[in-house]
Amino acid sequence: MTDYAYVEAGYVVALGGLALYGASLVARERAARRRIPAVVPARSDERGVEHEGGAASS
Amino acid sequence: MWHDAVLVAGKDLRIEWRSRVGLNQVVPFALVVLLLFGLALGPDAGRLRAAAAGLFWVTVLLACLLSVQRSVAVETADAGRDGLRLSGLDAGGIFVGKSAALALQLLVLEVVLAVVAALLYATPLSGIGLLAATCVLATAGLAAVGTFYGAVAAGTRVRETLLPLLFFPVVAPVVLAATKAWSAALSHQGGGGLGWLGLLAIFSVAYVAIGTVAFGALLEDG
Amino acid sequence: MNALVPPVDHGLLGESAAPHAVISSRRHRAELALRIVGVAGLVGVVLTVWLGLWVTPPDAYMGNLVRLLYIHPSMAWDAFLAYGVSFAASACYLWPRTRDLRFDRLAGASAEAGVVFTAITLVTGSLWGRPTWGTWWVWDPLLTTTALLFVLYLGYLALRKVPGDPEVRAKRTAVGALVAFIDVPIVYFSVTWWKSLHQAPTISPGKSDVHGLMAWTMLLSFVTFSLVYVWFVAHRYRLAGLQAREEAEGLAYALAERRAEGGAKAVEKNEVLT
Repeated sequence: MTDYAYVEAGYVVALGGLALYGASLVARERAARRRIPAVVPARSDERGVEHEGGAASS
Repeated sequence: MWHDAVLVAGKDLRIEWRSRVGLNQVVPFALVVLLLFGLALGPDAGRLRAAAAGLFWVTVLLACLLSVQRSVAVETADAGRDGLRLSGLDAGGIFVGKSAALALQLLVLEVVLAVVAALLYATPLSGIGLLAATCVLATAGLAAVGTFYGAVAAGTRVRETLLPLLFFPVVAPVVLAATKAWSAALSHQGGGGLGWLGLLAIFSVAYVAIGTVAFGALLEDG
Repeated sequence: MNALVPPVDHGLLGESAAPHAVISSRRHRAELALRIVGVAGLVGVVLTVWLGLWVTPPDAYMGNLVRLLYIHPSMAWDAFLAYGVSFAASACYLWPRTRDLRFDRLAGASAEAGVVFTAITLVTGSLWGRPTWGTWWVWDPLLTTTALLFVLYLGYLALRKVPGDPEVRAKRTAVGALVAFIDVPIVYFSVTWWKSLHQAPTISPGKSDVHGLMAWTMLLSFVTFSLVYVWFVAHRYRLAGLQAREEAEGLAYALAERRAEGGAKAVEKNEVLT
C-alpha cells in the first residue's frame, strides 16, 4: 500500500465516523420528537381522550 | 469511623467464615485459572517463569472480581443494604470495613496462589519482603476500587456484566505496577520494584480516600 | 420543559395540534446558534479536507502521511476536551449547590462524543503508525492511555444506560465518572514508566517554507473539529432532555403510541368490551 492509501483510509474513517454519529444523533432526536408530540400531558384525562379518539376515527 | 469499620469488616468476615464461599469457590477457581494459563503457554519452563508475575496478578484480578461480587451479594440479599443504612453506621466506615474484609480475603487467596504459582511455573519465590509489600499495597487498591464499583453497580440489574467492564480498566495500573514489582523481586532485582511500590501506594491511598468520602452518596440512593 | 406542552391537547393525539405553540425566543436563538455552529463546522470540514488532501504540500520527512496530522491530533484533542467537560459537569452535579440534572445530561452527552472521537483517534493513529513505524500498534504511553480511556468511558456509557430513577442514576454515574477520570493520570504515568524505552515520535514541523500553510491547516482542523464537537454535544444534550421527558411520562407516551397505531378498530373494540 502506498502512503496515500493510508491517508485516504484515515480521512474516510474519521469523516465517515463523524458523519455516522451525527446522522445517528439527528435520527434519534427525530424519533424521540415523533414519539413525544403524541403525548397526553395530563394523565387524568386519559379516558376522555380515549373516547374522543374512538369517536373521531369512526 | 474506625469503630464502624471494624464492625462491618467483622460482619463480612464472619459471613465468609460461615458460608466459606471464598474458600470453596473463589480459591479453586483461581487455581483453575493458574492451570489454564500453564496450558495456554505450554510446558516451556522458561516462558512460564518469565510470565509468572503477570499470570499471577491477572489471576488475582479475576478472583478479585468474584470476591467483589460476593461482597456485593452479601448486601443485596435480604435488603442488607437497607439494614446498613438504617444501622446509622458511618458511610466511610462501612466502605473501609467492607474494603478491609475484602482485602483480607484476597491476601489469604494471594498467599495460596503464590505458593501454587511458584510450584506450577517453577519460579522460586525470592525477595519475599518485596512480594509481600506489593501484595498488601496492590490488594488495598483492588479492594477499595472493587468495593466502590461494587456499590456503583449494586443497584442495577446488570451488575454481573457491568462490574467487570467498570472495574478492570480502572485497576489496569495496579496490574501493571504489581507485575513489575513482582518481576523485579523474582529476578533478584528488588531495587527496581520499590518505585512501583510507590505507585501502588499512591493508587491505594487515592482510591481509599475517594471511596471513604463518596461512599455515602452511593449508599444513600443505590 | 413541561410548560411548553399545552395543558390539555384535545387534538385527537394527532400531529395536527403542534405542541410547539409556545416557543420562547431564547429557544429560537439557541437553535439558530446551533445551526450556525453546524454549518460552520461543515464548511470547516470541507475546507480542512480540501487543504489537507489537495492544497498543502507533502512533508519533507513524512511525505503524504503528514496529511493525517490534519485530522488525527484534533480528534485526540476533542476526545480529551470531551472527557474534561464530562468530568467538570459530573463534579458540578455532585456539588450540592450546583446539583442539576442538566449537568448530568451534559456529562453524558460529552462522554459519548468523547468515545466517538477516541475511537477515531485510535483508528487514525493506527493508520499513521503502520506506514511510519511499520506496526499498527505500539505500547506507547499516549496510545495505551487512550485505549484505556476508550474502555473506561465505554464502561461509563454502559453505566449510564442502566435504567433507574434519574436522580439516583445521575449520582451514580457522576461518581463513576469521577473515579474513571482520576485514573487517567495514574494510567498515563504508570505506562510511561513501564515503557519508557519507546520514544514517542515527535511531530517534525517540516520545512520552514511550507510550515505556514501546514500550521494554518492544522489550526483550522482544531477549530473545525471543536465546532463539530460542540454540535454533537448540543444535539446529544437536547436528545437527552427529550429522552428524560419520555422516560418521565413514558407510560402515557407508550399508550398514545399504541392507540395511534391500533387505530379505530382497536379502540372501538375496547369500548365495546368495557
